[in-house]
Amino acid sequence: MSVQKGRQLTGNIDGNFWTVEFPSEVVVEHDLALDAAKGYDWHDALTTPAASANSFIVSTNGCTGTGTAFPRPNIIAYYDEDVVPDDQIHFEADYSGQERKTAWFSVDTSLWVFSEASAGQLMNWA
Amino acid sequence: MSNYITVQEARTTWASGDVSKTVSIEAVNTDYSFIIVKGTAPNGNQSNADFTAKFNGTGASIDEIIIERYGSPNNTATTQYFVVSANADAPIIAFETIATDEVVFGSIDTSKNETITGLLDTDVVFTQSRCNASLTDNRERTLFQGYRSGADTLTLERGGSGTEVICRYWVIRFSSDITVAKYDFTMTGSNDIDVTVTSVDVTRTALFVNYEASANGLAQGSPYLQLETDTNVSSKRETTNWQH
Repeated sequence: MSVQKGRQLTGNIDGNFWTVEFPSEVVVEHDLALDAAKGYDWHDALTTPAASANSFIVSTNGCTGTGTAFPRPNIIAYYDEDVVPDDQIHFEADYSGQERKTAWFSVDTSLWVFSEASAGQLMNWA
Repeated sequence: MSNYITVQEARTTWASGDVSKTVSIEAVNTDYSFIIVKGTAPNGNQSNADFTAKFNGTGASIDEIIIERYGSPNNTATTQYFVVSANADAPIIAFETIATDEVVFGSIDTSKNETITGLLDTDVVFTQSRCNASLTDNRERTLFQGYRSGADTLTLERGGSGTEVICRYWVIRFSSDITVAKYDFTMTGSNDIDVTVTSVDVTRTALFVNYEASANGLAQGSPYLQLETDTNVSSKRETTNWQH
């Protein structure tokens, strides 16, 4: 069920989303990162440092301003590959001048593991 | 011990005019891998920051990806990618890449269908696009939603026409050990909506999102979706100042 709240209308959005609930060994952190300084780079803290070899980020970005000074809404989100595990998510926007918000989900699968021996057994049974 | 899922990530810088980069990666099986790519760029054309990514071939051991933008970009850019791979030797394969391909939207096109046999509502769809470099605004022409519209049909739609854009879609089917539910959302006459979802554990749930926008503008085409509670997802937009 979708519930509308009274806010300013600025065009329509139609879309889809999927909730993807991982096994209990997977740690997903999520938050809203603010770029109140209208800058080029900022970061948000992770409670549990992410192992970048087994972690990825999915995100959507809000942006102030109703003009057409693109591509200000385009933001990248990443772990620093030189900091393993990384306790921050880093954001970069090469075009400053508007405030941005990034709704991010960090999916760390590093603890979701199996033993090679058990995998082999299952494969043999098949 | 081995991991069910492995990830490779890196950033790449682009010079003005660059339209394609081939990047070496550790070999992956493309049947069980997908690529998330995002870009950012200084002022200039919207197209400077719009990227698609694909594997350089298909098969069990592909060690390159190709990242692309379109036309004659007039500024630098930075891209960042995640190559996410499920271990095909695991007792349970975490996910399978059901389909990925590119669809060319001509200037007047707003909707196209792709045939994908056995497509399910729980197959996760995400899109990427690259557009004509002469485009200096009209971001809504580059935003695509993708969804199952029939038994074997994936529909790709955008909210504005007028520019040729290439849309790449990825369709991912997660294993039964991963619980997936699909919802649609519409923001009409509102910049803040709530969608009720079946209860999830918020400590292990992520949102995959795609959308189209009808209006040109920074805020207009930039919703951000949050998992507010175990049963509530919000979608919000800003205007000229913070609204939330």
